Amino acid sequence: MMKGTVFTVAVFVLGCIAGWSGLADMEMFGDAGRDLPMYLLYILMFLVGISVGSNPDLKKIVKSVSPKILLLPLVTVLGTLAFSALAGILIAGYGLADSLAIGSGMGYYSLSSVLIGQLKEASAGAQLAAELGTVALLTNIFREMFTLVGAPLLCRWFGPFAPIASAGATAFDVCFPVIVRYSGDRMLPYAIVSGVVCDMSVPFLVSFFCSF
Amino acid sequence: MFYLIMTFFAGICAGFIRRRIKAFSHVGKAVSLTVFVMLFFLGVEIGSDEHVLENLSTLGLRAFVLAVAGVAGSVILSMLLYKALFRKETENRI
Repeated sequence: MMKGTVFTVAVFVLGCIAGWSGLADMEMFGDAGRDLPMYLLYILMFLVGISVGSNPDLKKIVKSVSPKILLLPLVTVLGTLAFSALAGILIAGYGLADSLAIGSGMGYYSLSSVLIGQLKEASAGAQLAAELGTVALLTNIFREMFTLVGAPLLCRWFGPFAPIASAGATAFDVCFPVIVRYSGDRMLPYAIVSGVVCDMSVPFLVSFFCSF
Repeated sequence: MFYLIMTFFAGICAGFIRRRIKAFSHVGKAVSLTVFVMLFFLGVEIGSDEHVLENLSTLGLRAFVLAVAGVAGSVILSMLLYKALFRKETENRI
């Protein structure tokens, strides 16, 4: 697995240990501490926006987007949301909006988990928010792992679009190398456009579904 | 939620207008740093929450099912899309 994912899990586990042992708690920063995650969230959204906007290839990517190529990220998002809703309601026992919020992480585990953990706190309470954030983190890490490990089989069984769809937001990121390898060079523009569009949809969709 | 999405948009505009500023090429690191700080706090909240800790294996299983579902849904639709609209076009090019 990639260094980034291992480090992410390590930071999260470190936080868990600090919280469990009582070394750190949310009150340790006083009044400012309670609002700190909310400020961080706004800073994070602004920074993610800057990274999207300042992408040197943004113009090229936008130009290469035909309406037809956009169908791939569209069905990727729709398929993910539909099946996440089914599995979330029938198997996990979550409500529709919560299931959709977890699904709309699209493999972008770091952003979606902190967004859900923070945004759900007001409406669902700290406990359910923390639980949903954890499930979102794990779900989207699993998704990335499935894609990295399963890309050759997905491609053979379901065609060259399958690893791109499975990768979701990580198609132009961590999963890009395996997609190019198994789906082939000719799938490069599809992976880039789909990855970028799914990536950009995460902040929108997650905050949208968390508002219910 | 509205202000959050507006903040995201403001970031995109700022990034696009000032995209030649060198400092912005490091913005990915700033994003990672912020995410790590927030993940740490998410961990703190979960670690101090006995209810979540007790159910960690259940939560892991749920996450596994949700991940399989998300992959399955997107993969099935992408296969149908490829067969319906893209197969001829991309295979002719070879």
